[in-house]
Amino acid sequence: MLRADIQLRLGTLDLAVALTAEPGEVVAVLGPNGAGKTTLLRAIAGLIPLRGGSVVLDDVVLEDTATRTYVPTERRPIGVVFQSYLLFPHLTAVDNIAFGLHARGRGANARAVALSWLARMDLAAYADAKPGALSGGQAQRVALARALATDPRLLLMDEPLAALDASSRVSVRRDLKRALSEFGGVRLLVTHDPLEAIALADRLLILEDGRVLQTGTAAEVTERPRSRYVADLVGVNLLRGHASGGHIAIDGGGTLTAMDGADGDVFAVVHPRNIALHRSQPEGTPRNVWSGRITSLDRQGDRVRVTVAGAPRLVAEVTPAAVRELHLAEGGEVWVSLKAAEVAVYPA
Amino acid sequence: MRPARAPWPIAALAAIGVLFFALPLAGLLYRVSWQSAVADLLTPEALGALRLSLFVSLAATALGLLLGVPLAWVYARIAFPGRNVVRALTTLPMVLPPVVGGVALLVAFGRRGLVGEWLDAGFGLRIPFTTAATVMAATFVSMPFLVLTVEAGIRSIDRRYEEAARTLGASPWRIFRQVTLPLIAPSLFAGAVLCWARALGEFGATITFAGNLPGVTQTLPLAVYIAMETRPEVAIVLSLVLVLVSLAVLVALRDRYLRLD
Repeated sequence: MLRADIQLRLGTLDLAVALTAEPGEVVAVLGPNGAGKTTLLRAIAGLIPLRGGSVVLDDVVLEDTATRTYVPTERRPIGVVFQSYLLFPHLTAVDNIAFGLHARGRGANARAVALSWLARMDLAAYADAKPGALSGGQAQRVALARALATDPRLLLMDEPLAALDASSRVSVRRDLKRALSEFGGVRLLVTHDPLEAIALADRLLILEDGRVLQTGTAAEVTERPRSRYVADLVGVNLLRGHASGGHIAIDGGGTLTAMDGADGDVFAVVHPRNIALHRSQPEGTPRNVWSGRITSLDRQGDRVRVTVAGAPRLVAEVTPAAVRELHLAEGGEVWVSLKAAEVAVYPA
Repeated sequence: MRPARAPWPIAALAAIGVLFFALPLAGLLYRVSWQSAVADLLTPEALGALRLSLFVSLAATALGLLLGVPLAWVYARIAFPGRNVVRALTTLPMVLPPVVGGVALLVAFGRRGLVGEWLDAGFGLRIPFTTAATVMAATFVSMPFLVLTVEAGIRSIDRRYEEAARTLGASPWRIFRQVTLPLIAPSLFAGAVLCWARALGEFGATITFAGNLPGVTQTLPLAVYIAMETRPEVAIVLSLVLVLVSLAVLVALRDRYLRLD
């Protein structure tokens, strides 16, 4: 378990963040550029000194300004995955992975362990390739293996997919998800991409201007976003499902029709703004129409978030006037309509 | 854009500038007696000077690497009070007349010198007029080239690689050996070659501090200087050897260090 209380200043950034993460939990730190996400990660890794606060991992104090405790980065049981991979350019893929094993005094069978990690990443054929000869996706897999090979207790990932092109992002995200699920320690992911955060993490921690704006599961954040930024960028409906021929069978019930023709496992993203609510079954062009029960109403300034438990379960965003006119209330029945063009589909 | 044409005063002066360097080289090539060149090179004096120069310049480069790389690292990474003063001190031999360096070395390590007296009394060590003195003189004038080149190299590498190594559990010493040094390999090579070339050409500090003993301290440049009085044809052949070596250094560094455009 990670308990971190991070207070520091760096340039114009004033960071004050308290966070906890349980083993077995993936926490995504999400926020706009300049929010302090990367700085937070570097501080937990010990690469930036704290001005105040502490970092405690599995009851071991790694840093505490009150007792002047500081365990240097190289003695913290961590693994870090960087946005730009940072594979050592002069070492082969297998030597990059073995580097940490040698450094941590487990060099005896380092090459064998490194090779098995490469095999797990489907990169056995690239063992003796230098990083310059690897694609971005391959390089990031090697970097992930390098970070995990030393059996860290805490895995820190700084925008691990941001430098990849769209096609390799999907496959690396899949590998990342698998590696994350097999990893037993605490996992912290920094990203500015809400989809990535929702796809990979169990809990979101939304950071803005060095402060925690909100924390909770993706569903909680979508249901009750605490700010406009959160509502617009993070508070989207993200549904997993299986697509075939433009129809997406949503995990947990219901089917959505989309215009994108992707087949296979997908994420369907629907913005709450694009969902219309009706008192009775609507007739018209929208391809997706279903009904459900309202489980919550959450007023956010000039908008109201309405959670409709149906098949599928979605959050819609409407005006307070619409809530009055339609007599929307918790527990009431409501019809939902959604145009196929408003369902964005991404391969999962 | 059309190719620029130089106005005639500039073109004329530039041409004179080129001639100023080309003519002496042409003179060497013109005056060298090709028939006896090989025989001249194989005389014991010439061979001895060649062998000694090779040893001294390589030893100075090795010493320069051993002491200069850590020094460059400290300059690039550790902020300490007076860093600029210390750096200026160790760069001084680049601009100092070498003969002054020789005098300074003599005053420090000579038999009555600051350290030399103590070395003599305590250990019976006498440095001046030995091959060791030749190596010291060469190192004194050549190491600054290596230090400056390597410092620039260390400053220019992406430090995030070293941070990545730290997160993998590497100690600072391991990072220096296994990450920093490989990353600065091009600067290391360029610095070593520059250092070696400067050591090979060293004259002033050597003749002052180490003297001119054939086989012991008489390096190539010294042999050239002495031969000019007695056997100019040998001096010319030896000079040509040094020219060729310098040219080879320029070619080797062409891509790594000396490219301006």
